[in-house]
Amino acid sequence: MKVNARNMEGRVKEASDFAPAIAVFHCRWCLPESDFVRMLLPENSRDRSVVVKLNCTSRMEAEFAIKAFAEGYDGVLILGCEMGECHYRTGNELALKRFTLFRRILELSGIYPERLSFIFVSPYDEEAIRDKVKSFVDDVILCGPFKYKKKWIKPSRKT
Amino acid sequence: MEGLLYAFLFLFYYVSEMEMHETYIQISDFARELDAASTYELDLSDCYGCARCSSVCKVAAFAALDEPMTPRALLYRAVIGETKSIIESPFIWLCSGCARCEEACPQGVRISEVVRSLRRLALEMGRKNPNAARVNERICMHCGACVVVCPNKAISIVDGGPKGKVANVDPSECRGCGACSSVCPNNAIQQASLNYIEILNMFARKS
Repeated sequence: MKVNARNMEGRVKEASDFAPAIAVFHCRWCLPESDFVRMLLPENSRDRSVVVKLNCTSRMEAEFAIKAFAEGYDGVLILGCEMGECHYRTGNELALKRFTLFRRILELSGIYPERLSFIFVSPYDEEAIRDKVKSFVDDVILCGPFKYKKKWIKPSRKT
Repeated sequence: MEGLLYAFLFLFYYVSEMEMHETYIQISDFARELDAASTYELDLSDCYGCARCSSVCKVAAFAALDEPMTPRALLYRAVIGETKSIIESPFIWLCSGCARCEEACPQGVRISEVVRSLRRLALEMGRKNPNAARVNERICMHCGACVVVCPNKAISIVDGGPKGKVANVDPSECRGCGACSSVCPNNAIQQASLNYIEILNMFARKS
């Protein structure tokens, strides 16, 4: 069975008070104001989280996501335009390819893949944006606080 | 006799109307320069200002510029010959050439070609593309990953530099999406406006 935050038992009761720190990367052409993006997040986690405005989601590297997890953020959210709506024609397709692979790598390395998600958004539909971001934040709350363990990267040798 | 008179009157009216149409739009010298700079024929006088192009344009809607600019205003100013306000505005550097305006245009004006030739003229006049990618020649390994990714085919690999070959960015074609710098293994190609280290510093925690 796949590792899923929703499969875990007893997670729901623990996580009621937890305010996640989230790194949000958003496209300039569908969500031009980063203050608006910050207001989409729950009230507790607005000060702890970070909003980064990029020219296109194709600028987003996997390295940024790794760096964000290493800095101690609990989730990484990427907001891009809908398919076929990209200002640079194929930018969001490239990012989608990259991050479907990257989610698989997260799963293999023992991190819940729900912590990272790529959401397609149309700028004229505010309710849909709110619903999608809320479902993502709920998933991150289910996963719990992210703990960076050095043992995962450098396992101790047995002599 | 009366019939003949009416016929003459009608002819006179018709001819004067024709002259009116001919003299209605006076195309400036700048518009002719634009025509010469592009590979296609730009029929700038075909535009009658219905503003469908600016209703579709993403730059007009979402790029918060200090002086708002739309493709229709751009065309109109090009026809009149107001060069300064067009070339100084960041609109021409933000336009990605997606050609949604051309699809919407009922007259078939090639607006993205107009913008392309405007960029060329602006570069000739000594302006710089603020969003264009720059190549660090010392680090560039001429692997060609950026060439494949670029949606506008702005990058090519040219002889030169310390290693024999380097990637070269054409500033008139580069639209500044940053796909090349996300792919580059050595981070040799970077945007001037948003650097790799600047993005990392935005979410680094100082503790």
